[in-house]
Amino acid sequence: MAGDGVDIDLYDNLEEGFDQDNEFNAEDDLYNDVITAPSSGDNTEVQQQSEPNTPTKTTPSVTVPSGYTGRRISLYVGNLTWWTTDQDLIDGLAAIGVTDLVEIKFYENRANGQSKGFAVVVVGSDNSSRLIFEKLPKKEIHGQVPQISNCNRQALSQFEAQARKGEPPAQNGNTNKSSHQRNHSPPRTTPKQGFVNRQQRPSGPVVTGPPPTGPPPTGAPMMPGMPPVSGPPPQVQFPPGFPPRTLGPPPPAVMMRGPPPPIRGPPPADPRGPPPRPEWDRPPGPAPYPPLGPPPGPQPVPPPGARPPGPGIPHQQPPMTIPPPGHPPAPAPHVNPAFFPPQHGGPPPTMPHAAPGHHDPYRAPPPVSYPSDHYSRPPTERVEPQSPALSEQEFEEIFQRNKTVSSSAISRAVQDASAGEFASAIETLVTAISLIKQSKIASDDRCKILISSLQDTLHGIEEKSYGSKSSSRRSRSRERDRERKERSRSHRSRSRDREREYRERSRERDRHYEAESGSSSSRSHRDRDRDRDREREREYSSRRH
Amino acid sequence: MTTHSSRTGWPKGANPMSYAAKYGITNPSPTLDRPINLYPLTNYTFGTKEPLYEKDSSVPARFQRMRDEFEKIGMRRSVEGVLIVHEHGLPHVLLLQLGTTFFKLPGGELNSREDQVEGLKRLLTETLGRQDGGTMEWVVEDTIGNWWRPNFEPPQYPYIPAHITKPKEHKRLFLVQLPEKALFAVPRNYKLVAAPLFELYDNSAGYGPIISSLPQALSRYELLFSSLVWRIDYSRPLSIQMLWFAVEIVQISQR
Repeated sequence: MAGDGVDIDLYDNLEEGFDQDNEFNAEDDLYNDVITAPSSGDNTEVQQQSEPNTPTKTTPSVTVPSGYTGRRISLYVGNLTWWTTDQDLIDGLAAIGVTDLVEIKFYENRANGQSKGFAVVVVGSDNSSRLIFEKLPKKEIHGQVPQISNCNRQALSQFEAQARKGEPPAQNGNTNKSSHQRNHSPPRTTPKQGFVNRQQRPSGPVVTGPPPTGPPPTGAPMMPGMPPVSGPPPQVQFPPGFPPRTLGPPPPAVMMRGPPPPIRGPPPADPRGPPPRPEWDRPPGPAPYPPLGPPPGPQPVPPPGARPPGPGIPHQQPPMTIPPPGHPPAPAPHVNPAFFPPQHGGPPPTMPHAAPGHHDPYRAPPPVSYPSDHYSRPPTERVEPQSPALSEQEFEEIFQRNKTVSSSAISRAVQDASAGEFASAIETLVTAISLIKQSKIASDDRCKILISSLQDTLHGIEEKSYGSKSSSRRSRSRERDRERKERSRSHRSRSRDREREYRERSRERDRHYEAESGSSSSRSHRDRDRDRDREREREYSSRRH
Repeated sequence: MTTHSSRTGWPKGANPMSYAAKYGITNPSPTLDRPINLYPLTNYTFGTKEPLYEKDSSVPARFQRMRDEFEKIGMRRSVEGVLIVHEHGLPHVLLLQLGTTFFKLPGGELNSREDQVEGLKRLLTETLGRQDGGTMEWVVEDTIGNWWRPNFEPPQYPYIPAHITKPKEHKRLFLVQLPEKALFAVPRNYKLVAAPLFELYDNSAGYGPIISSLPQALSRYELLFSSLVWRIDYSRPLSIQMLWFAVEIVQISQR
């Protein structure tokens, strides 16, 4: 990177800033010597230098960075308002008689510079330190009593926590910066899962639902079969851990923005990014919608307090909207009965007998594309549980279906035939026959009866179709032959056809016989044909199945 | 997108048609509409000159010097200039690129008690001024923004946080109106790039908070994209000039 002779390091960390949430500058080598003035050493520990007390500046100055070689005794002064200035502290200290103030350094939010309400005060003598401990808590600064403590980790974390206060209690585990919160204590996992998931989906996480986060949350008895929707609904169901209304998005989040671990990808390294977003990194997860700008301080002052209900209310909607969309994709047990019309024949009330049942109540259409007039009946079908095995029930279903098929086919065919459309009538019947033959129970006697009845009808119609034409038999037969040949040719391409072809060929042969032998023998031949047909069909069916 | 440019050329002396003038609003407040002329990037030529190094060799050194100077002089005052050109119908900001990832605006620190506009012009000439002795015309009439640094640390904010009484640095950004044509000399250790506004917008990860918020800061200006300057030289054959205008118009319309 440094190709041009200028040290690029100059600006390398320009935007990374200074991690103030950690121990005061102890971690960041880069700034160690910048912040801790020439006198080296860790500011957070009380210095025990044995140098004599050199007179320090008495003018109110915030920092004495260079040249100060006296003792440095550091204290935390907290519980300040965010508008308490360094000058306020200086004045306060002067009023209690501290004269050797060395430095004041506030802890701030990196993202917006706002004070966290506590500061490190460095004085030059134990006496001053004692004075501060004793007297400063007696003075109010902007209506608040300062809290003094030694510089140690506990105090620091306590002040940090205080800065973050106002965050809903359920999420106190979420202040952990890491994104591995899912692995934390199980009872918390539930709400957290959703929160974390939501954060990780910058774009309207609520509407699209959380990513499948693995096992359904522990506390989801209400959602037995809906793993995909497990995230948000439990949140909704968890009122104790989830107070959407009181959820001030994050006046606290403001405080937590210190070192922003970008949980999400898109706004990568920058803590601030688009202003509302980083506030999500702190998991007030159920608040997927960014609050109204960076909310003010952590202090329990009305303005920030007034905000939470505002954004809290719209936040409620997103969690609420999840369950409804969640329901439709739910699997098996709650299947919508309307999805299975054709497969459930009526049970028992209508008899399962094999008569070519015209009288059957019409059921839902068979699952094939059949001439559909009578099958468009409104769903008064019965819902029956599906069972894949060829049980008695299923047998009955199939048989009923076949019966339906055959009865409707017959009536349709008769209709067509009386209208003169013999071709379609014959086609109808043929289709019905093949359908029944293809069903699982075709070898059953009852089905065979169905089939034979269909075939009878078929022949009847054929007769009719022959009878309806006037001219000589021979010519008719020739016409018929031609017709049949054409039909057979056109039908040959259809896969269902073998039978029809066969039949047609046999019919052709019949016709030949007829033509030759005259009408008197036609019937006998037809009978013979029928027998032959049946034989052939049986052969066929046995070959097929 | 042809508009009449005003400052040099014809019609002489005509001001750019501001929003107010166009719509017959009389006596508008001068800050309501602030028209700024922009010229195509191609109007400008960029040469090189010897490297111009930073005063500080490292970040810690930088803050140390800042501390020392704060002691002596008080708050540091910095000025930076935003130079805008246009291309493809969009304003572009000229940035100096150091290395591959660092960008900055031209400018620097004011000397104590130096006037800010004079100081900026001095700094701009130092950074981008031509070497051949020609004068640079910098027109600085507008402030774009102010940023403050509350501590001896990198963060800067466009406001002074409430608890800070003595910010350590105050940076002021100015809009620099470029002449219609100009020659710049860029120090060899920098590259001068023209960043379109959309590249900067919402990209503080890439450019920092100050530069990435320039699109917002500039949005209040009425930026006039001047590409055709109808400068008629009556001493030359008019027909040829008309021809060139026509060519320009065609070129622009084809964009």
